[in-house]
Amino acid sequence: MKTGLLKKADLIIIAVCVIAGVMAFVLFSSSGGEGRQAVIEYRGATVRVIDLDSVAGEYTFTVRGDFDVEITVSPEGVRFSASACPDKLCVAFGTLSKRGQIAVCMPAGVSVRVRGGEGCDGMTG
Amino acid sequence: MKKNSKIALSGLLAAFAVAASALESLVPALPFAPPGFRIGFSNVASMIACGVSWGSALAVALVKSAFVLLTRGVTASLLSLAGGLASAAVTLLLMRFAHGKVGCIGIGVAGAAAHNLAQVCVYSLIISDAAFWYLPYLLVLGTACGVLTGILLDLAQKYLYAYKKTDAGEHRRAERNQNG
Repeated sequence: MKTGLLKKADLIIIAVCVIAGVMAFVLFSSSGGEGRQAVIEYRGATVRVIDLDSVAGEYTFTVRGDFDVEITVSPEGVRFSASACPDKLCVAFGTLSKRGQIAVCMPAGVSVRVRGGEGCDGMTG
Repeated sequence: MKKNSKIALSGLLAAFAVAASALESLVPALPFAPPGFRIGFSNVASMIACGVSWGSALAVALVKSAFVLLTRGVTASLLSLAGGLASAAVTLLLMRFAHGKVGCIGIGVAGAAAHNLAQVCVYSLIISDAAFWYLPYLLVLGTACGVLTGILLDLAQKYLYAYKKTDAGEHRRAERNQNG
């Protein structure tokens, strides 16, 4: 079946996808109140919540997922600093500092994201 | 197109899809895209397969995810299968019901969006809801990649039709004449 390159409907499809993406980003990055919290999850369960605005010095801890991952928290943000997983894509995400950013280690099942604070204190779990 | 030609072409397309995704994994990640994000050159083969028949489209999606199962494990394979089937379904529907209204770029973008949405849904089912936070990046970057694969599909079609004129093109011309 032969199809042309660009038609009017194509522009509508492109517009819908881009607008949906931007809207989702705005929605996610504006959620919550003031400040930034890092949420660390293992297979959907929250492992730890860190208030990024009150981090004084850099520290590192290990999350035992399907592979052990090492997470470093600093005043700049949060990052996967090391991982025992095979592809190390999680480390390649670098430091997350803005709301709505996310890094995922798929083999380990561990994710880290930054969200707006919800007035809860320091750490859970 | 004759049945044998369809089977042969599906095999070629599946082989191309596997080779394209293997080559793509060697290329370093795009600097502005999240790690693990890929342009999806193999989707060009999937889209051509959708133009051949739904069976061909299904075969390419299955071969692709079987290859991922062998090289990257069960989870990655499930994600590949979900993405492949979803984008094939959307592409087939667009080609069937919006033929003439939607061009290659629209098909590429819609296919990429379906691929990404399906993967996010499956990922959130088997691992974590956190995958949904990935969606904004996937939708916007996926659109850009869909435009690129759409352009490639358009170019590929030109060569494919030149090839078809040599063999199965006969049958196809007859079909076209019947339709007026």
